[in-house]
Amino acid sequence: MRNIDLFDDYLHQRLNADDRKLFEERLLTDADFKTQFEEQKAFVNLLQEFGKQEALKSKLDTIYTEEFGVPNVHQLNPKNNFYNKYGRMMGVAASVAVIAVIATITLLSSGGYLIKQHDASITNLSKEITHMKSVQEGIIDGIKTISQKRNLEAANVEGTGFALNSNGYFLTSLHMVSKADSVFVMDEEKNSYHATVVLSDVRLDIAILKIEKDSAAKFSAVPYVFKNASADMGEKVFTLGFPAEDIVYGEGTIASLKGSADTAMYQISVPINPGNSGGPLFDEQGNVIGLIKSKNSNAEGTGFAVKSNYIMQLLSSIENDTLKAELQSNNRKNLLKGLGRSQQLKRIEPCVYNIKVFKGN
Amino acid sequence: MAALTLSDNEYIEGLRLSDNAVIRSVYKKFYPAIMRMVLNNNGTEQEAKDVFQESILVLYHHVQKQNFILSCALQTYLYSVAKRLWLKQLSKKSGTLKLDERFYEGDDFAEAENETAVYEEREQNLDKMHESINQLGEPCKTLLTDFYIARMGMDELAEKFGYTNADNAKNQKYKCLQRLKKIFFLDKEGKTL
Repeated sequence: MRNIDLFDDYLHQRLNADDRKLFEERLLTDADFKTQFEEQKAFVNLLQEFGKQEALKSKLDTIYTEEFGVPNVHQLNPKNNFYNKYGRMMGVAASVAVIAVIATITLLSSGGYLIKQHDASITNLSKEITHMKSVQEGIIDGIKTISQKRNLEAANVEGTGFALNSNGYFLTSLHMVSKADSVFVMDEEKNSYHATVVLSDVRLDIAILKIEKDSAAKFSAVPYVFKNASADMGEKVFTLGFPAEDIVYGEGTIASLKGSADTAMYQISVPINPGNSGGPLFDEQGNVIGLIKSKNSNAEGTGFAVKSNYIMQLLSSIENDTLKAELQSNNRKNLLKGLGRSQQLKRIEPCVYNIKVFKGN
Repeated sequence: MAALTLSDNEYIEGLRLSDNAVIRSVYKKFYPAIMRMVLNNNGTEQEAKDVFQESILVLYHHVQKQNFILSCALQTYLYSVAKRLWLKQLSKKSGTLKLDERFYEGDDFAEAENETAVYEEREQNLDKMHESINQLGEPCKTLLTDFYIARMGMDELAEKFGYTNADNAKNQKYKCLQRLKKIFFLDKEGKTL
């Protein structure tokens, strides 16, 4: 019998009384044997402690989930999680007053460089809609104080995003999600999923969001492909986005191959509004040729979109191989080619999402 | 489920046994204050959750020892340990942080630093074990956890893993353990990877 098996039997108390006695006697007399035994014992102890700890961790996780649901990975925002999660613990209904508010001003300041480059006449197209004010009476100690100590007012920004592929990755504008407390991606059926920013590029003003795979989200197959070359001036283009609660279609043309003197952008004549930021820009065949970024608020019908070939270039320059592979488009063929516009839109719609962003003060 | 009201010793005993109902009431009773501390100091819910769980693991690690004596209120213990853990994490984060002024106010439990340090040393080994086990792959991983952690017998294991007999299972277990040790100790000295 190998010593290790003997040690295990002894440690698991599987030796009979005689063998046990012999074993213990040998420990006293055979120093080598004793050392080996101590080593095995220490290792097994560590293994067992690991096992216990893992069991406890999973228990803690399970109970946490049962009591509070899925934790927010961004700083707490009151609207989406706070009441859902702690409502049960508080045992009282919290009264929530929602006060609608206006303006894109905070956004411009968080977008930062935009103002520097083009002064304030260019408006990023996300809409800030609500300030939430919560008034609530907690009863159970501990919880009550949260709402009092923490300022629950959160700026609420909305815009558009679209599927990069069906792995749970989405493209949107960075100016929308920068400095966000939390970002949610809302699908056609108004289910919201928590998303994290996995990649962002300040120069192009784009961000890639990810919804965790283990969330309940189902990702549709993506019918479009990303064009890896520049489109032409005068090409007809269209977009889908969320300037309103519901998805809105808009069409126009490529007005210039430079947007605001930037070769990475198109100037487009498509009616776009706050909320269109982050949306896809398609050519007639349904290839993605850009991402709606901003508009010139002094000149009606002048919008800007980041060129898809610049986005593709950025994606291919990622150094993290795992992420790079994950971000690959899993569709190589444009399934929208040759279809009428309304058919194209039907196929595209499930891949265009309303992005909701909560920002602290 | 109605919250249990337990004494500190009952909490500790329940935690030692990793009792579900006790763990649930630990969350109810001790989590809110710690969550608030993290959320008020640049943390997220996820981070609050992690810090709390780690504090529980620190406590768990210590209560496994027979000679464990709680030298302050459990509430203070957990809060102080959580605070240490969170401060440590915050110091790792870059940038300027606005901390709640109350954060710096005196605690607390003087031993917290030591308690966390002892745990963290052990935790490094446990992390190493975690990595090694994951590198080990199946069926070794399950075979070893079934044997050493779930304490299943050789006959049972032979049947579960489709080995012809108990001796065969024992041989497999032996081989798997040798491999695990090799990974663990090599890795520990930084020779692999």
